[in-house]
Amino acid sequence: MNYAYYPGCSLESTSPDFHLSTQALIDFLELDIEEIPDWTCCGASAIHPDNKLLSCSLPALTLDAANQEGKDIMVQCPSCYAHLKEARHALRRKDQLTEDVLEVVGKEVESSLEIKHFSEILVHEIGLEKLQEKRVKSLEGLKIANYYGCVIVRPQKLMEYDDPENPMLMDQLVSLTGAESVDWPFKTKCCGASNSISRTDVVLDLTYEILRLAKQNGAEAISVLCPLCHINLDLRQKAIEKRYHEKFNLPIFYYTQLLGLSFGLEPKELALDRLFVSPFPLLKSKGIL
Amino acid sequence: MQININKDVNLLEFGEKLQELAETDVKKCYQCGKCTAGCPLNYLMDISPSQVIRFCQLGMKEKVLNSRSIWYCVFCDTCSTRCPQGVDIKGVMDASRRTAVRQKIKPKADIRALEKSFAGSIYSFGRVFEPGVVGGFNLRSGKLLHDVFLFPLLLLKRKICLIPHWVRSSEVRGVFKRARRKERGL
Repeated sequence: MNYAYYPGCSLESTSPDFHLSTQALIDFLELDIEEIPDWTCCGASAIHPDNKLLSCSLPALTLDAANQEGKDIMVQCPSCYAHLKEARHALRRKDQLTEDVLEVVGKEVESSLEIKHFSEILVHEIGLEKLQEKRVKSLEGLKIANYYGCVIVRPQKLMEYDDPENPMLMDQLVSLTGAESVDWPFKTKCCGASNSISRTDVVLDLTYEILRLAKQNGAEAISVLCPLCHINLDLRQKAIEKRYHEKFNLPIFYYTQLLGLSFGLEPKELALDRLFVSPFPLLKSKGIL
Repeated sequence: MQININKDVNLLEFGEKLQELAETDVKKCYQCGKCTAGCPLNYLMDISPSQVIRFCQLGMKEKVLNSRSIWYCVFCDTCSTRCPQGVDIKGVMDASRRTAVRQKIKPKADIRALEKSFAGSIYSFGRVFEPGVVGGFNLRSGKLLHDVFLFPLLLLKRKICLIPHWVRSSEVRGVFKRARRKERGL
């Protein structure tokens, strides 16, 4: 295992809970994964509708930074994951786009490195059995809806993450904690993404359906792996409840926080206190805390 | 929906241009409507995703470039994933939006204001500076108080940085400049 960690802008600012819980897992599992020094933004969804060449060139800077370290890349944010893979694909095409990207970046960039989501590393490289051995606490009795969002699974040909309609990677990790993963139909439904700022009402419409379906299928909390999904479901949950006159009170966990709990890590280390919908009443009622 | 085809339009030209930009063949579409059925943003669009493809087939470029639909697409890729003919509908939306930006067609949604603020932040600092992005969006869109009430909440949970991180910003600016020059064909 030879990975360098690319947190991306969201984990550095609006999602420190994801960043801290990831770091806590890395330390606990004693993984040799360090942050890429001086990483720059991947451009996210704001660049490609304007300039395709730029949207492939910005992440190429990160690919280059990882190459310099002689490492593959580990990512948590699905948007970063997608844009890094898009840039790598552009470099592998060996056509005009490749030439243009290299010219814009101004140096030769290797495209042979691996780009992996942390959940892929946990399941495929460390392995569920080994993780199971580390479990000291069971989250039994907790019913979780696993919500993947759209970016990490689609387009499947490029992402190569999991099934685009019914992914199971996070379900496997959450089941490992002893919690029950409920069966529900909105695993990969879009949350409205960056409309969060430009058309908040749209996001409230879409996330309302997600919360409603999760609850209807028996979930007591939702597990996510995307910082933008998290903002839309957690930070905006009060606004959703107000708009639709319906109480949800569904805590939105990052999958890393649930794993951390089952490994016996402290709530503070996992930044559980930084969620907007407090998970403490639920965790206490289940005897987990 | 009634479609009047202007006999002057070049039925193939737009499709071919799109094929080049979006790398997909819109002629393959047989209008089953699966993309529209699964589209989470369809309820805000003036022409549905399948209609966008139909207009592309017919070479009715203006209809597509002047639609609200291309500005509301969030690129979730549900349409392209489900298309039984392998048409990349999302790619067509993306390419149409880029074409509209290039032709300076007035955006039909505030998303463009957000994209500009976002790009401006990366250009200035090398990383995204959230308060700057939201502030820039509010100024550009005229929604001055948008999300302002969330600010104290985010501060309370220490989920916002008040000082931007400058990281390799001159290198990033160089990439921006070269990419923009190249896209303009200079």
